[in-house]
Amino acid sequence: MQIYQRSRVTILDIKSEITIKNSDLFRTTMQRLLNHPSLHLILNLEHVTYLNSSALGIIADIAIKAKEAEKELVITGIQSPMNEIFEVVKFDTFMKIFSTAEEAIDYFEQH
Amino acid sequence: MKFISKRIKTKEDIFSAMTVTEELANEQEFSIHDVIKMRLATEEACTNSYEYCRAKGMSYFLIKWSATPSLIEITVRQKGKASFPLIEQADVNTGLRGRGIALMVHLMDKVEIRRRKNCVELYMNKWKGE
Repeated sequence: MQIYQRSRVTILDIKSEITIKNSDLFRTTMQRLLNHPSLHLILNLEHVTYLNSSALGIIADIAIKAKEAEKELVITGIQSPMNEIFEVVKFDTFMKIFSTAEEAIDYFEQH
Repeated sequence: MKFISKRIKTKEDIFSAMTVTEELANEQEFSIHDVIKMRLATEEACTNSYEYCRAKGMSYFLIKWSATPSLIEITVRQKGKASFPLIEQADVNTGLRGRGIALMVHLMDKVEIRRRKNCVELYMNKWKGE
């Protein structure tokens, strides 16, 4: 799990699956992303083939907290079959989802 | 037909159960996507029972698998009468918890609660190619 900066955007790149074994680390890392001074946050899931409902809860929680702090968290790169999971939980109704990090960066540059 | 059962006491056991599901589904040549879905349903079902058992001071619960080339069945059995609310959520959930059951219902072909004399079972199955 790596956090880095690209222009005005802070990106958290997840490189592993998120299971019961590492969901606490994911929670801590997402909190670090939220605490970053940047207003524009990306959670990049392009290398993630598996995440559990605990991870979904953490993402939703941080997205709402970001809004409260006048920041915005978006998700990029959701892979199949995880895209089905995100449709079931209707995350697109309260946060933006992009195919790639580049699309999300373009979105933030226009806002 | 292949049968396996396992006693789950720890988070490490849950991860091990996820691996059993993955290996069984791979052996039966289910698609990669179906393997991922069954592995996730296993984790969600086990996590649900794990948290219930911890809250009630129970030390373990059971998980059983039955596998054929066309069908995989997974049953999680816990003592007591607690139910799993198999209700589709109409509203969007922006909270930390409460998505596991909805995911299981979506990921598997069949999910049902079976009440036994002194226990409750969560039964789920998946057919190849469904």
